[in-house]
Amino acid sequence: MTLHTPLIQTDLLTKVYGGRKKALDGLSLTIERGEIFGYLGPNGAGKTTTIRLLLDLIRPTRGSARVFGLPVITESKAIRARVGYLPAELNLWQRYTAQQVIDYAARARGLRDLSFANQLAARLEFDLSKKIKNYSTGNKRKLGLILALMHKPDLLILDEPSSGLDPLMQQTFNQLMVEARANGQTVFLSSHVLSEVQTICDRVGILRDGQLKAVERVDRLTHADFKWVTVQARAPISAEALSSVAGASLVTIDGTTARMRLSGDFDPLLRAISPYYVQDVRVQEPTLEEIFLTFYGGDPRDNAAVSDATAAKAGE
Amino acid sequence: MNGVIFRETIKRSWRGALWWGLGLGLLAWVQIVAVPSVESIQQITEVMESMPPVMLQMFGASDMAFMATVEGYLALQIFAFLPLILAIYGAACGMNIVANEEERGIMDSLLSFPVTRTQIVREKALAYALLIVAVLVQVFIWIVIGLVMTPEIAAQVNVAEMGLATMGMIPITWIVMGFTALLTGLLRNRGLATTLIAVFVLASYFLNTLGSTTTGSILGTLRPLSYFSYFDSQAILQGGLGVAGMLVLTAATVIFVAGGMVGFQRRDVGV
Repeated sequence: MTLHTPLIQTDLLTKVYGGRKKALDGLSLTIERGEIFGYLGPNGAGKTTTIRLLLDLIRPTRGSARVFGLPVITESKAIRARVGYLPAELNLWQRYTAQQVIDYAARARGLRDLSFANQLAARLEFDLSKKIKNYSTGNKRKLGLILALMHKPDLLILDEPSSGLDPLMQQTFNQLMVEARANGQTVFLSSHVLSEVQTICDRVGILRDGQLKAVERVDRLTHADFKWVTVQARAPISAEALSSVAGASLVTIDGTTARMRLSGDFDPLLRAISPYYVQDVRVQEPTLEEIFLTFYGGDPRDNAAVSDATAAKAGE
Repeated sequence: MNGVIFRETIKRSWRGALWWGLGLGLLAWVQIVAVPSVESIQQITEVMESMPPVMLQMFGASDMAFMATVEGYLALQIFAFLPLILAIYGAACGMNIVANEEERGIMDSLLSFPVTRTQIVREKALAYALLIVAVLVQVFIWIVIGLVMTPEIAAQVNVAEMGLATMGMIPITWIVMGFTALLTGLLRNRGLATTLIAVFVLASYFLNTLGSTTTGSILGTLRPLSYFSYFDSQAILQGGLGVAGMLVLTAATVIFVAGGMVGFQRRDVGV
């Protein structure tokens, strides 16, 4: 592998289950060395399928994938030696203690020095002495992170790594990822929540229905920032009152309720609704897909799924 | 092979093998210490002679003159039924090679280590093959203990032949393990695999039993397909260890395990 060889490269990678259900549809993706890549999408989008294909746990229906420049099917052992993997659901030998699992992993990897694993356990405030069956979901995630990181792999593949971690541990996790990048490691992590990954990721890719919709640098996405605002007044709101609000678009009025997409400051809106007796104002962050659609010039209203999700959230 | 999975499998499963060895060993031991008098054995044999040949075969009794001896009685009591019980242990071992960890979702974690799927099947199969030997060694130890406790019985029994008969059960347990490894390597459906293993064992048992009583019939012709037909405890106790049969079963086990490796290598790992 040369320095210019992508760490992960997939070419029209496709996985069809049972001859019908397309879990992944023609994924072509390149991950460069030393970046933290957020692989985002709702549940069932194909994130775990992608990861399991990269680790040769399942076989592609079509297309191919390379990790470290090596084909994943024929060189899976060599690839796994340099990868740290955290599955979405970590299942381990119930009667083993965490220490026994770590010892087993270390023996399998030919790792003699466990000092880094112990450091990780200390940072994650994780007790290694209990049996697996006695750990909570959050603690199992911590153990999974230790197992993925303990051998300082070149590539970390983490499936929903922060689910089950409390906010404090989330911060520790973020710090570990930043340190990994500083050490030249590459991170490929999946999530269904943008806010979880936007603070640490260099790039994000969004997957939906098995298709990669977009890949973009996180810092560029911030320019597409907007919010959904719903105003509930006591009296019917006139369209005229909101027509001149700077930054407002996609305005819909239903009697006493007005809903709009608002970019920029809130002040113009607040001035426009000041004549009304306002009962409630709800502000909702856009979904990741909406940000992407805006970024790429799409209209969120064109997207039924997005609209449904937005309506559901607004009703919460 | 770096052997880490082999060692881990032994470490995780030796206690189970110890319990199996103890249970089966005590079963054999009880048969020895509770051997009735020679007169009673002869009376039992006379009763059995009135049974249809098929039933006698099911009980593992074909040579009635031999059955009337203490050694023949023990052959019937110990070696006719242990292979069926050992089939359960062989299947359990085979299930532990791939199916159990796959069903519990542990295979994903195991395959995150730098190991290949074929290495997992190979090292685990070797470990369980060794544990099967360990179980049967324990059974033989309990047989010896029983004989030491009953000198009058021991005087009428060739201990070495009892040992050979016990060791003769190793390949017939291996083959069940191997067949289970084959099916669970090929199929992700554990329930279907379990059903097919049960069919394999029972069909083999009845094919051997019926085939041996109907020589010349189609069942008699098909009898060599039954793995039970390669284990004849009476013949071993009468001085004839069926080495060829043991080799056939061992070779079949190797082929089955290799097939399981190929099957597991080619398919998706379940979660």
